[in-house]
Amino acid sequence: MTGTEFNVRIPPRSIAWGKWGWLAALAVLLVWSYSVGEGEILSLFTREGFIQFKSYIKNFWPPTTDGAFLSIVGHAALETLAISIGGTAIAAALAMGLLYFASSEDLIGAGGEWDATAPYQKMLRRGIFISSRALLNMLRTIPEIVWAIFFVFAVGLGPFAGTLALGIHNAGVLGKLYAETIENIPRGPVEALRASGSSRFTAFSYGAIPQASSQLIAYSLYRWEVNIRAAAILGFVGAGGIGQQIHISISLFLESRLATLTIAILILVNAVDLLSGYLRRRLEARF
Amino acid sequence: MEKIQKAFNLANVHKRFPMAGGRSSRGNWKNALRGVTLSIRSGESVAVIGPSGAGKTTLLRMMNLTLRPDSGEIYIDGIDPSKISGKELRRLRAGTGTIYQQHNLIPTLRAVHNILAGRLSSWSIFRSLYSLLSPREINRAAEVAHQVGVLDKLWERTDRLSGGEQQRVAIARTLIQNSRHLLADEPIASVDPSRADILISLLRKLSDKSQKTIIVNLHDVPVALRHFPRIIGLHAGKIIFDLPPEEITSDLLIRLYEGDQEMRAGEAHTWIGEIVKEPLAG
Amino acid sequence: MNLPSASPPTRPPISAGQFTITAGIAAAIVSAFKFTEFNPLLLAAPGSLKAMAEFALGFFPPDLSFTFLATTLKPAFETIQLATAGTALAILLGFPLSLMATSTFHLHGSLFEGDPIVSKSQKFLFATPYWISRLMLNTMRSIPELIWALLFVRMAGLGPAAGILGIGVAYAGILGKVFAEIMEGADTRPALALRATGATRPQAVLYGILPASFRTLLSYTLYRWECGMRAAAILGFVGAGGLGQQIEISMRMFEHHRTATLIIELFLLVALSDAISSHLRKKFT
Repeated sequence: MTGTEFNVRIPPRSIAWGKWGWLAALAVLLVWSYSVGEGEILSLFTREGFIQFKSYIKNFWPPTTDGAFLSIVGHAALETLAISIGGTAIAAALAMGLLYFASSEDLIGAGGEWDATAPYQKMLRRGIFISSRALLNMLRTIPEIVWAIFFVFAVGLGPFAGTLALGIHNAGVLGKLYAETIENIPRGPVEALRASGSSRFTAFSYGAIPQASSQLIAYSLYRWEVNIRAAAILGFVGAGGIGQQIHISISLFLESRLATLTIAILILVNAVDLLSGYLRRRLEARF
Repeated sequence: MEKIQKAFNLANVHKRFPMAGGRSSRGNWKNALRGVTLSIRSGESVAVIGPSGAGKTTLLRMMNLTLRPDSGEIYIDGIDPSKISGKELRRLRAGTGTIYQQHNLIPTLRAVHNILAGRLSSWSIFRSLYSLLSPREINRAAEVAHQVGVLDKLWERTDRLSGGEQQRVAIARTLIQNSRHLLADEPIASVDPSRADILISLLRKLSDKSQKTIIVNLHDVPVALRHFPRIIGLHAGKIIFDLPPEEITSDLLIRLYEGDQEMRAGEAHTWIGEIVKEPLAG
Repeated sequence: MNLPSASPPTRPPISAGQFTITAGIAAAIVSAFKFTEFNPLLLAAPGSLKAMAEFALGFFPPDLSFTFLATTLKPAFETIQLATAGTALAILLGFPLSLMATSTFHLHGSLFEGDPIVSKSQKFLFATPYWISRLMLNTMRSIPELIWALLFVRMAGLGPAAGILGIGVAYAGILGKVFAEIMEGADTRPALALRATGATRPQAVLYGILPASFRTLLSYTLYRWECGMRAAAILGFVGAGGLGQQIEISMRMFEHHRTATLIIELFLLVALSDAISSHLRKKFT
């Protein structure tokens, strides 16, 4: 270089918030969160903790493979699969049924400036809209497990309760996803149908839903992947599926059985993930 | 008697919209129509011309009962839409078919469904939904598809058709609707000039055959002057003139297009001069 | 109207593939219903209706007494701690795994360009961490977090620690996979340019890919944190503390008016984390 010195001043940091402020806040949050489990987690790293860990892990191998148990596992796995399929199907059907009511006036009323504007009618529509959305919200907020307990109470132990629980809970989840999707479609076709004399519902069913249909199906298939995992644990509260076997094995400290069950879940979940992914890809190609 | 013959009757209609991005409370309005008064008889053929932003689309949406005037009166077929509702209102709407500039077809449906959508006003909801699975009245759809020349594409997905084919599907949709009146918003905007004449002739032929009223928004003045016996000039929401083509002077056209953002004054003058030189159809 | 002499084109037949898939799905749904003894009539049976009504009515009115609400404060915080620490652990475990699981870094893909001829054995060596990490991530995310938590309960005892580990491991799997997908989708040209100047692969990733993907990674992390709140509640059912455990207890004791309160609190917590998450995501992306 030529030897000229450049006197470069580092720009002064702005005080108060800014990068460091956020990071400090985050650090505090993390430390506080960690503290709730500190004792137990640290104990894992002690000598005894490690020995206990090793002996615990040893119990898992080899996994139980006797015929009687395997057939139980097989049946439970199929039941779990059935719960996930039935639950997702019910959820999709319910969500579709509610979609019209959960869609905004902006969409349904497209092209309808001349429609009846009596205040009571406007209020009624708004009321229906708000209640539908609130209902969907309620269905999604209550965890599947709570729904499972509810349905076990209502229809007894077994996979029927599990199917209903998944169906009702996911009706809320899919309902929200469906509503968000359909909210984003162009209003033009709906308006055109109304201008030629269609009713609000017809313009919605014919003009709005077909535009969103492939996305709605994709969401439903994706939800199936989530549901197979949920279905696996509903058995804990008696709602059928492999969860019940897991519950038993854990309570009776039968780790080798747990190993088999875990492998079964791995296979089941991966199978559903693959199938769901395949169907979604086929769907994209078709549409 | 007078009223029955009037298909469209607008009296001092005003319509304004909040400006995009502006808040209506702050008074950022765009006045789309300012005191529009016109009447069109059943069976007439009218072209509406004017620069972009003049309010042509708003006027059209006013006449097909999509928009409602802020003030002023409007009568369709002698009926005041504010006095009717529900089924009657839908019947009134069904009496007007619209061809939109953006087509407004449902892209994921096959052409046959988009065409049959023109029949929805006569169908029950069950028939409408069932038709999506198994199309009803296929022959009718085929008939109108043939009239516009898209018969071979009847079963194609609409978004796989070319722009021109989609437009013809949109036209077929209004044909099957068999309405008394036909409105078209810039039907030749994205069509090359050689085809523009053909398309307008087709529209005129189809409506003349069934004595439909036809009202077309056009930005292409020569085409308008050639094909329509009545021209309405719209500028900034006001009707500047309402005349047969032979009475339209270059001064009128200059007044109409003056201030058109897409055209500077000098250009307008030259362009209009060239238009008026063209032979005007009778 | 005169149609041309040829009749209108007939509807194209449904392809064999479409038919099998639709039929397959329909068959699957029907057999699923049969297998799970689906019987809607059971729902309408007087016994069931009565049970459901009793159950549901027990929720109203929710117990909003001050004494009870005070006792729910600690569990509410525990849920937040569970979700946060769990997500943090998930990043700790999942991020390194995701770096190994990004195909564009390891397989004979872009970041190898410009290298001296890579031998077959070198390719195999580089690919091994990829396959191993993918397998690990798959296992971690295929086992539901509840089951992970149960496994950890035996080791770490009952309480939030098991929940943190459960969420941590399960979410590490999910985050790992999504992070890898995000990084795989990043534009590799800046990284390749760096390699051309002699940077090592880790350097190229650090300077070339991570800064570009950072925002998306952060956005997804925040989304996961929000999911973690819901998951934390469910984990409480197996003793991992938080609102979930309180819900389980109150349900067992049939104190449904308390369950109602707890569920409302859970809802508020989720709504709050949703709001924070959306706000932060908008702010930083």
